[in-house]
Amino acid sequence: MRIIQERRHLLALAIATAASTSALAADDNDFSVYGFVNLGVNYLDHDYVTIESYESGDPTFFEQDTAIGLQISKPLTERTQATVQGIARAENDYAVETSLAFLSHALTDSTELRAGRLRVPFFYYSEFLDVGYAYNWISPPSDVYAIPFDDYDGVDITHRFSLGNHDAQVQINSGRRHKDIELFGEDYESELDKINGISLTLFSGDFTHRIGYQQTSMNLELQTQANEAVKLATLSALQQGVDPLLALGQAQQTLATEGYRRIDSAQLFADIIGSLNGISDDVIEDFTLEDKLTRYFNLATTYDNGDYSFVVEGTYLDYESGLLVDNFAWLASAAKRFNDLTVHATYSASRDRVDSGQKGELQKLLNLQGEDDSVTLGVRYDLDAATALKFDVTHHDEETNRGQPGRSANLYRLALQLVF
Amino acid sequence: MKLISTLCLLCALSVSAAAEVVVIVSVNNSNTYTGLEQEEIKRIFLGKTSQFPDGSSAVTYDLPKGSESRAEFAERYLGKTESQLNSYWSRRIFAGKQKPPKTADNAEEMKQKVAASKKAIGYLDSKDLDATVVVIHRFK
Repeated sequence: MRIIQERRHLLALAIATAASTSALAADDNDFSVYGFVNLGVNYLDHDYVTIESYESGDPTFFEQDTAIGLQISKPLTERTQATVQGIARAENDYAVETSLAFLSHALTDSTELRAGRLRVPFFYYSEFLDVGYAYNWISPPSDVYAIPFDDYDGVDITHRFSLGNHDAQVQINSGRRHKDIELFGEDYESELDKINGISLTLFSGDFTHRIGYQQTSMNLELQTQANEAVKLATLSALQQGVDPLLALGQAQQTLATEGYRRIDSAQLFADIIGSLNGISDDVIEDFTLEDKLTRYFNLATTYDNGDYSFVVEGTYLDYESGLLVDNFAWLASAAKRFNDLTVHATYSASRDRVDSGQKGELQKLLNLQGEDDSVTLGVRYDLDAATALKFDVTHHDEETNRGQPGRSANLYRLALQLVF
Repeated sequence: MKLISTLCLLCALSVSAAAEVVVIVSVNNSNTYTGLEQEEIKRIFLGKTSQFPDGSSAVTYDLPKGSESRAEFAERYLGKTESQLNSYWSRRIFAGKQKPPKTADNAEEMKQKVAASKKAIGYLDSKDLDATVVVIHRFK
């Protein structure tokens, strides 16, 4: 509660500061104020399918794809600057999240150090993921951009250098995040430590190439209070010859009344199903979320000559915990501009890869794996130099959802996105 | 016949009125000896490098949004429409990484800012040129 109040206070401060800026003379010492607005309408045409947080039924107006961001920076010395960025999302009832809050210091013309609240530079679009105006889609494909958190507290250093006629940039970051995390629509108390990474970006004419690596050590506070009782009840039911599906269904019901969330239950089921199927204790031990390492790999290439552009990006998530299944995802997108109108087409896919050996066997028994494909067709119309009207249609195919054959649906989205 | 000649007169007028944008630096800028390639200007103005080819630091100046010279410069030198240029800078600004070029309010201020610092690089319509600054690139 307190945190939310503090955030609101920050927004009030930000608005007051922004309002007073116009009175100042144009000077290098000025506050810079930048902002972005996303307004979205969407309609999902099929029941039983959820794409991110989009739900089928009536169209929604300004509930999703809707946010306002405000960023202020102030030079403190010739080389040091303070920056704060707040985002108010419709999905969070416009409570303001502080998405950036850092001090930056230019060590040289080409090397900058930042410390404070930053965004994790996982993939190509990660650091400006919320700024719809910055790309052609209404939002980047969720098959690839599905990491459930994007900020951390720490430091990073960015160094820019030239290689002949090419320019490059290397960024190294380190920090942690001790904050709730939302997974499968439910909140968990979590601690992400050892958030360390490095990325290299190469600019070569109209091409940009990026290679990136991040890692986190994840701790989730999981519920265990009913574990022993439910495990005993389930095992004894099975010994008495109760049908396994029935016994597990009963266990699931008990857990639901105990307030167990998806991962709380998955941890217990890994234990029960693992021991029933002769999976070794060492492997079952991996189906927890205590200090579990996750590694995030990224490769991307983009090309943009003003008239034609394309993006190809691949990501791989490697989880030490068996409760989360390793995932390979990629997207390929091409766009052509006709004056103020840009048309684009994108294919994206996500494939869960169960591990080898007993760990993979247990993942399959738990039905954790999913497979998704999407095709997105869209248009972007630039109403003026800083406002874009966009329409995207995404056909989303759940090949596999939690180990079972999935369904498909079409998501229609209309959005007005601008920067100022 | 008369219509055609009137049209042609309009053509001629529009050609001569079309802005020729030139890139300028301070008279003290040492890169004036070697000149700058168009591609180097693009890299500097898009913030991909913050240095002139001789290794000295570069500070870019832009004309205000919506000005004709800015659109012309963006199209010819950066290969982008103003919208594309705004998208490009939005990525850097909201990532909290880089700031776009500083803005000079008009051609007069552009000349003053560029003349005042050997790090500065800017552009203006060639009709606003005078001896306080040096043309380092002219679009052919």
